[in-house]
Amino acid sequence: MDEPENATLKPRPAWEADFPHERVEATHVSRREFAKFLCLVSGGLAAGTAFVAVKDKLIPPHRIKGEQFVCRLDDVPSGGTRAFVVPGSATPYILIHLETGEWRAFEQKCTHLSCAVFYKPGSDKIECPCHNGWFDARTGAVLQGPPPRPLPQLAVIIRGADIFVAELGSPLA
Amino acid sequence: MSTFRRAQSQAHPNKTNTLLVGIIGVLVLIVTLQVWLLTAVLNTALGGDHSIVWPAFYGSLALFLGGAGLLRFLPQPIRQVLVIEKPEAFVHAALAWRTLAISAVSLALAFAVWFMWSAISVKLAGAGFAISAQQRFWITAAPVVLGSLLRIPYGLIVSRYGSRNAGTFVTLLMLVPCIGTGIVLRDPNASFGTLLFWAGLTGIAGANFATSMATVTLWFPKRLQGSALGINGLGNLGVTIAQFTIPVVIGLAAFGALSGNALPLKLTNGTTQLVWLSNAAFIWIPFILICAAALWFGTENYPQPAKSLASQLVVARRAHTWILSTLYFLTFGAFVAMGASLPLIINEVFAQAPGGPPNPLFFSPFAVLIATLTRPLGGWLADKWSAGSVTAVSIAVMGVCGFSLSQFLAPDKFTGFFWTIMILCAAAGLGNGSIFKIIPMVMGAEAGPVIGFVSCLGALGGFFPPLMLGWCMHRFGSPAWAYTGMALFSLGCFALNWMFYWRRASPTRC
Repeated sequence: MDEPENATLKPRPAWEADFPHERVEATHVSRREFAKFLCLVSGGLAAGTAFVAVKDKLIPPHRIKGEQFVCRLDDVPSGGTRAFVVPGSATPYILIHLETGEWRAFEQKCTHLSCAVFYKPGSDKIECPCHNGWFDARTGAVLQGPPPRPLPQLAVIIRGADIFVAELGSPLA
Repeated sequence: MSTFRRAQSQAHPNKTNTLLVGIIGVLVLIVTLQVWLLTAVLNTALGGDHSIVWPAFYGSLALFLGGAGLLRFLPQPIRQVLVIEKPEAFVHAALAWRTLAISAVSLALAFAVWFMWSAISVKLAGAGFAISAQQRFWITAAPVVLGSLLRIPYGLIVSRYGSRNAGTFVTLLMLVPCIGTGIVLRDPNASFGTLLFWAGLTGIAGANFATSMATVTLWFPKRLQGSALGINGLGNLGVTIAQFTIPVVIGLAAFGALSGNALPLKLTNGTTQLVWLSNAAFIWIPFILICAAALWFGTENYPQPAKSLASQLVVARRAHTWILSTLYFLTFGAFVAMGASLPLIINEVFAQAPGGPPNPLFFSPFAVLIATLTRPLGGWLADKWSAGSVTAVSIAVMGVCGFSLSQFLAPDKFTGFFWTIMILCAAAGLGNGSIFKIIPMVMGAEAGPVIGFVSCLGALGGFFPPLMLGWCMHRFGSPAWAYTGMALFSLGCFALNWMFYWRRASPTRC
């Protein structure tokens, strides 16, 4: 009596389901697996939203302490800029001496994808070269392009021939 | 396995295609909505506007839960075999329910004795005992040590000496701390060491929990374990009984000469009141005798061959003992910690609340009370549905609540804070009930000693989280890290519970 051919085959070990020999089997994703993966992504997004919600309770935003010295008045000519950082933080800032004689200080990170932004002399505008985003150099407001929010601004305080910055809205400014 | 889905897979196998495509389509939609929520939240939050972050989080969570629920409707590739379960026999029904009633009352008495020192300690300094605030803290904390560690041997003795003998013995044993404490409290010159010794020894009453639970679990069939153990867990109300009884009885000359001379207690309004502090301990003696008599004459030893103590200790090697201990550490520890830490949090966060700081003495007992009351409900639900799913729901609610707590850490948000804690404690109580249903379901005849281990770690769980919370306040200036840590720990526990007790493919599913 002839045995049917497949009756002599050994049952496949369980690990072969996860590490199959055939490329076709390895790249195959069943619809059940895909649905479960979508659910995993959904859980990840919920966790991400949760992190945003709780983040400022866990890690309070960094605030500049008091007034910080930046440079002297004659270090920056009219229409010129100066990049600076404040002690205790790695955030880059930019100090702008507008042609009208006013002073402004902004974070140098574009609110879109954190590219460095530059003052375009004579135009009263700040430019983000990465995606052609533009900000108002007086208020930090978005003029055009992808940035979703205005540039965060610091208060500039002039004491004699020295320039200081402080948190905007703090009693010092 | 619901009949709907079995019918669906068997009667309409060729509809699986439509179902799968539909589910995947809805899931894609859900993920898209969540991406939109997350980007919107990121933009507003980075701009300093936090008004929509919490609503968006709850929305995103609801979408995820909806999607996860949808997965249950995925067509099954393998057809399920129909299994009809026969209900277990419940031969000693009348005796079992009587044992449960007597056991629950004795347990309430044990908890009352266990917590008598926390009611006594607040009166000590006023009555002339030389006790500092730090020493008072140690006197309150001392009973926890024996009350938790002794639960391991107390869980073993039931199967060794018989449930009636063990229950009566541990109940009578409570006479020692009651008499000793009563005698010590007659003399205000007693040293701190003496007081601490008797407070520590009072801890043996807390271990009665293990004996009591191990007794009840013997008598009931598996389908009633959740309800039975949950009802027995109502003995926790003894804590509340002690809090209300002791202030009253110390004002009465109930035991005549036995109570010794009355001590003048200085009240906050400047007047003095005559008190008999020893009554706080002597009051329990007649009840101990009544309960011991009820246990001896009203219950019987469970008919089974005695097991040696050493042979039962083998449960310490079972993985499930430690998994269940972890889960119970969360559910039991959480509500004890929430109640115990409320005064600290009120002091640190809500001191500037409009209309004056909330009174911690009024609010903190609610945490324990609500968790005790939902415990039998959790056990009953576990009997009705399944212990794994009730535990999963309870742990998930605890996680979301622990997470949400950090949004209420502002002086004007006490109402939201308090209600979130109440929901958290109610969920913790449900979890306590359903976890104690899992123990006999998974461990079977070894349930008694496992109850000892699990409840020991649970009681310690009530001790450490408040310390961690205090450390967090000190280190970060805000309890947000502790609450978020608790939420993350619940996520881990949720995964453990899913892995072992909830997943359809798990061999220990229950």
